[in-house]
Amino acid sequence: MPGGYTQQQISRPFEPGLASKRLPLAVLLTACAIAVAHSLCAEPRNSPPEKHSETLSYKLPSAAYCGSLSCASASCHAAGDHGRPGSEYSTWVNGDPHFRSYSVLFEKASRDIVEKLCRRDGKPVPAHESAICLRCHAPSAIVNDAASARSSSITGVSCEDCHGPAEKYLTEHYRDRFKSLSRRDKAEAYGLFPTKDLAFRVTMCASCHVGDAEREVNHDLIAAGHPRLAFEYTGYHHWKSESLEWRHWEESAYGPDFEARAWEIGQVACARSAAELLRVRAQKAGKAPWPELAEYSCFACHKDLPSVKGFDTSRTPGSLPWANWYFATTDLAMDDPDAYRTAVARLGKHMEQPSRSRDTVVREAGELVARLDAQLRRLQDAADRDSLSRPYTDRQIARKMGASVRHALANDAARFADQDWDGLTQHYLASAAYYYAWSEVDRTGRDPQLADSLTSLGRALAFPRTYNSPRNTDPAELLRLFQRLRSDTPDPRGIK
Amino acid sequence: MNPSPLDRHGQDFLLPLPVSGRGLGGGVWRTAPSAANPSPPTPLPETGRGERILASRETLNQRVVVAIVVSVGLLAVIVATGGRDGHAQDAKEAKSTPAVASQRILNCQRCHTAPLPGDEAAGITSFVTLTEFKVWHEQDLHATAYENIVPNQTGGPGGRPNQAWEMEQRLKPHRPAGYKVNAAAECLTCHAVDLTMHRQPAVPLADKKLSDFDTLSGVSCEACHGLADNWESPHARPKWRQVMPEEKEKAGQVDLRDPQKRTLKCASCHIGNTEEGKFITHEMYAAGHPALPPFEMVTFCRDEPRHWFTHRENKVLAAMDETQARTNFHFAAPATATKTSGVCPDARDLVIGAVAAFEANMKLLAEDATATEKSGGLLDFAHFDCYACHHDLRVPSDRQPRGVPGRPLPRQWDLLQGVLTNLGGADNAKLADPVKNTQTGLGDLRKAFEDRPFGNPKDVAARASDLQKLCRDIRPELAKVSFTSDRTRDLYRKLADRIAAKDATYLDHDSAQQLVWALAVLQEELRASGGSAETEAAKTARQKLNAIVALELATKPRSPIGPRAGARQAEIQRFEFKPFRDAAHNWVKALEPK
Repeated sequence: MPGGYTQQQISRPFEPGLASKRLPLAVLLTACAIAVAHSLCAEPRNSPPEKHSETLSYKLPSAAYCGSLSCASASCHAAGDHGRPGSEYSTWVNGDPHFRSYSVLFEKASRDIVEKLCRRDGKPVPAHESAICLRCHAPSAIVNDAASARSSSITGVSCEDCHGPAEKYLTEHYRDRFKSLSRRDKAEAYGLFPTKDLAFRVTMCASCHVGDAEREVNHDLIAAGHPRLAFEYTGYHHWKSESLEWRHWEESAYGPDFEARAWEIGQVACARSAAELLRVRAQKAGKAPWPELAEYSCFACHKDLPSVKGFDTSRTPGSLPWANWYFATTDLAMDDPDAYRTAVARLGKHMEQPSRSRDTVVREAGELVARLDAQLRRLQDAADRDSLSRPYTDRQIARKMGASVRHALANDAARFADQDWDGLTQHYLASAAYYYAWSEVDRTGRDPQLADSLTSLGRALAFPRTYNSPRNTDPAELLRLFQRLRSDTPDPRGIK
Repeated sequence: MNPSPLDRHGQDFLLPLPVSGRGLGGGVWRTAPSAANPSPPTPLPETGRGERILASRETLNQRVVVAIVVSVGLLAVIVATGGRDGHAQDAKEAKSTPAVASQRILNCQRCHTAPLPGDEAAGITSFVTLTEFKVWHEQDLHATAYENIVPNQTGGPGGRPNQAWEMEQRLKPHRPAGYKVNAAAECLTCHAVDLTMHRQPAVPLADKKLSDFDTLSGVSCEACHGLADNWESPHARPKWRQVMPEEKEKAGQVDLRDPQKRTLKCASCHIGNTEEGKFITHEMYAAGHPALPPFEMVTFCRDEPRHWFTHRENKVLAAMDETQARTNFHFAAPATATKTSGVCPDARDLVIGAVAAFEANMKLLAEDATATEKSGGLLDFAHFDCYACHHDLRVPSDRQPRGVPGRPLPRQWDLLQGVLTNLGGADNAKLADPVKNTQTGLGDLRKAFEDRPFGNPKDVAARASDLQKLCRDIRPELAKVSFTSDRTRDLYRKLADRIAAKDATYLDHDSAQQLVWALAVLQEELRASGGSAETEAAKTARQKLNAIVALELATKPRSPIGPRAGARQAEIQRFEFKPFRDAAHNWVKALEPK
């Protein structure tokens, strides 16, 4: 696997013995690539420039990229201790997997992927010259027409890919008058992306880590060897390479409840991106693979037989199960969970018959995007308003955590066994996020027993060595661990 | 005074049938053992012949009685509930038929359980074993086909629900009210005897009722041999052997000695046949139907177990006029150590079986793909290689070198491909083109599958239909090919190369098993034609290979479906290609002449 990615990392996020903010997830280093897999074979590097999503109502100006070296002056972002203010550039170079996202395209694993992907038709274009790889792995390499001129200095996902092309703000952003501007003004007048807006930030991450109209990791690409994308924001932001912190910022815009807010906004933003990707995929059917198998639960099919442990009688036996990773726990972050669940279930039903229901899928996925967009706005507004001044109390967080565990345990043991690995892992990540939030907010500190509960659960969800799927996971064991987690979860009634 | 054995289906043929549990056949049942039975194909163990026959009769009697009692009980319940049950009509019909149903099989049982005194002297037991019923009843899995679909909440291993009960629970929510797997035509077409089988045009699956099936005996005699109403009496007369197979077929007796007909008959259930309403959909598999093993006709027939004489055992055919034996009985005089001019009949059957089974597969695929194209849905996943999707994910993976990653593939058809390579060199000019076109067609079919996830139904339908037609052209020509020891050896090598060469490409468990079965058949055939026995080294290598892929289909004694299917799936889950290839390599090598 390129970048040493293994999915078992997803299920081993929780290591409470280490520094406070460091959890989850996979190194989806190579996490991004694009659309119609076979277009890799034909598409040249210089395709038209694209812009980041215009969701979230920021009108971003178009501007030129200046290159990450313009940020690297020692007096600006390339000095100071690793991870501290002033060291952003060097932290990125030394610890951030995004820095290596371009160089992995030269590795053998990437060459193998391209070879397999192009087996059906077309002549392989090397990964490091192919637009579908570069759009995520080195966005700066294909924007503007200066790409070829700059090719010698192509880096991975660099400063401007997340902060916006620097032409308009480069010489402004360190001045006092710039610093007093609002988030919106910085973005709309100068093109500095509002990354402190969590809804914007996660949606931007998701443009590669989930996919969008221009970028996706579809089933063809996964089958050729690209890691599956399974993005969960709070899991990712705790990722740590060996001993190096890779984050080059502090969450100064949020209070101690940041973890909880980030989980909720992350859930809704990822689901929103996933629903939008589904809409685009269904719309492109004919020009792109449809049904798109990456939409479905990986492990419903990818398991050695026999492995039916429980059985969901609501679904036609043997039909395609849609929506596990991005939709299993989102309802916990919705104001109208029942209506939301109904909408997701209805869409899932149509996805059982993807070729007959394509138009319905386009329409209903669009409706789901609108619903999630509205919620995303509400959650972000609440976070902006309250996180610093009136953060969630420990009692509120304990209640939310309890709800997420109960959500996993909903109904009886048989129903529990029906749940897919994706769904159970999302529940586990939810509990981990709330655990961190709770231990930040609660003055009494960490609860070792609860931490141990989470660690055990993470271990049980981990894939065995050399596997990329949950071989022989025992639902009875997972049930026991979730039950244990429930009894270890702080009781909100006991919190004053 | 004994009646002449050949006349037993004369005037006194219609025996009184039982109306109570007093015993079937009464005094008519003859138990006197004849002299030594000439090498029965499947020797039965231990007990004396007379006792065995009695025991077998007793068991059957009990089953029939139980069935009648159950049916009467069921009717009582239905009457009492005023037929509220959606299937009351079916159940009523079930009540009205059991006597007929049981009678059907008893008619066969009467003669085909044990030879009568004088049968041997009359030469009958040199032609048929006359123990067919007994072998079927005691050992053949087909006899349990119906039992296996009777739901029982505590009838599985360890008092757990049996497979049928679980399947019923999973299918119920998606079927009309009152759904019962053992009353559903979609199950009974394969698990019982379809009494409408000879009707033209065929009765569509949706119109088949419970009363259209004989459910009392599973897949019994008539399921394969054809409904006997019009040939039961005549087939016991000496004259019947002079009747041409076409005439027999007109009377309803299926010409199972023809390897083409036999394969198509087996394939109708073991692969599927839309016309006959036989198709295990992915929905059924997902609900718990065990995965069908790959099909290889000679192995399936051997392990049924066989209740007939092989070409090497049948003395009557060996002595018969050669043309008559060939035209009436599809007989191919086998080569032996002393008679090298003969051929290898099992090799011939294997090749014809491979082509005919593939043809059946293509027919099923073409029909379903055409329907899919019309309905705008996806091809039923049952058409795909199960293990294309159903595997744990590993990196690196043995699968990735094959095909276009990410597009589910159809099954590999390695046996067919090996067979076609062998036929490419056949001395029959009419074979050359269709064989070559089939090889090309396989590639085109694969492209239609790779075109999009779950295939492009329109292209799949067209390609599969082409392949079906090609095979239909090839099939009759195969009967004219002479399967000499040399040709058989060549086929053996071609198949062995696919499996055991050091650079052999990945085979999934089922493809591997199918090839190994075929190789075992050919080995046996080559040994028989050369008059040699299996060496110790070959036996050891075979046993090692057998631990990786089962070389025999059936277990002895016959075991219930649950554990049997479980063991098979465990074997599939354990399967890894490289250890298999090494074991196969050693096995093949142990047979090569020094």
